[in-house]
Amino acid sequence: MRTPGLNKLVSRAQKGEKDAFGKIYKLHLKEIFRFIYFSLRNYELSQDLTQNTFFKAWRALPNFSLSRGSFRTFLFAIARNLIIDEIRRKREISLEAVAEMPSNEDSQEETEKNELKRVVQNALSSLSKNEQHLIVLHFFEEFKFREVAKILGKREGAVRVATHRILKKMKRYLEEKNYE
Amino acid sequence: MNKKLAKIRHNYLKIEPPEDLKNYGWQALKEQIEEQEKRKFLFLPIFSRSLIFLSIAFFVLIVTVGFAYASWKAAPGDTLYPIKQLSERVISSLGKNNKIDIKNKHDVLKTSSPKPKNSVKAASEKEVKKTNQTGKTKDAKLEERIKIIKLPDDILKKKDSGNQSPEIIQAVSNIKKDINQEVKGLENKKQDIKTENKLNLP
Repeated sequence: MRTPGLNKLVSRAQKGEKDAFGKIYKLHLKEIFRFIYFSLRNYELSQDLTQNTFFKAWRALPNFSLSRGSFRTFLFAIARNLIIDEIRRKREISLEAVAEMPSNEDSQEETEKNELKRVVQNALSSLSKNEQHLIVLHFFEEFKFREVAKILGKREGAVRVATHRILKKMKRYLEEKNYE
Repeated sequence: MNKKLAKIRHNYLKIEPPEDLKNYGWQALKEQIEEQEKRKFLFLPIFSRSLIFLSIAFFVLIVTVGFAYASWKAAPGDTLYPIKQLSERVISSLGKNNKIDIKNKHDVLKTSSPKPKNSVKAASEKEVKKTNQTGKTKDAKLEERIKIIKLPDDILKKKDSGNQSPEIIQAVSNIKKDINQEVKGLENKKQDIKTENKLNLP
């Protein structure tokens, strides 16, 4: 998501304008929520962590600088840290819950497609949380490798190599399940 | 693989936050931010530390001054007397003038004993009574002693009637002299006690 007025809103929010931060909140609420929900599979917990992400962002706003990356990257980095903290706190999050992702394709014709999606989702779930975040951020949220590297706190080259390795891993998983 | 992931992405993008969060999320967050801003002033790390330090120092000061003030009128034997001594020592070590201390003590005595005259009078009356009683007992004792001393003299008088050798007569007269001297001394003492008693009377 590229919003031309975002930088202006950020600088206004940095001056203490809550309404400007409110606009930023409405712009990024959906993507932050889905990123957290995809990792935790818990609606209520995801809501709390989303709110907490924006609260932490507000508190850290005076220290934020555009020279270190976009505000979106900054928000996702906060959200990711909160997810990791939560996972460390409760390690019992079920990987099976991945199959609960919403889908409107209920027709019989789509059954095969859905089955493939389910297997791909399972392949994704078999990855570690770091690997899942990398895939979600690059392929689903369309962050560039440079931005993903900033969110994950790694070097860009390492992220590229890791992405290649993860895709191979997933491909192998699908081959094992006869879904090439 | 990228195509397959793109299909998954389609589902991923369908994840929506609940309506509550969409409609009231910002309002709730704004309230949280405002509440935090209110508390921010008191919970600044440096401010809170100095606030705690100041409150402890204030508490200690109040307790010290309170004890010093409460112990100011304490007399020896009171629970707070050691504190009074300590506070006096502190004041004197701080270089306070001793004359001021004496004046303060005088004021304290004045206020702490409102009827000094009456109490002194009562005490002196009690003392005189006691002295009279002891004077009387001393007098009685002397009388008794004189009687005892005079007893051999009476016996000697009775025995004078018979024939006695000149040595015995001489010895008896010597004894008589001694007895008389002792009786005289005791009577003088008796007189002294009487005059003493008279002087002690209010």
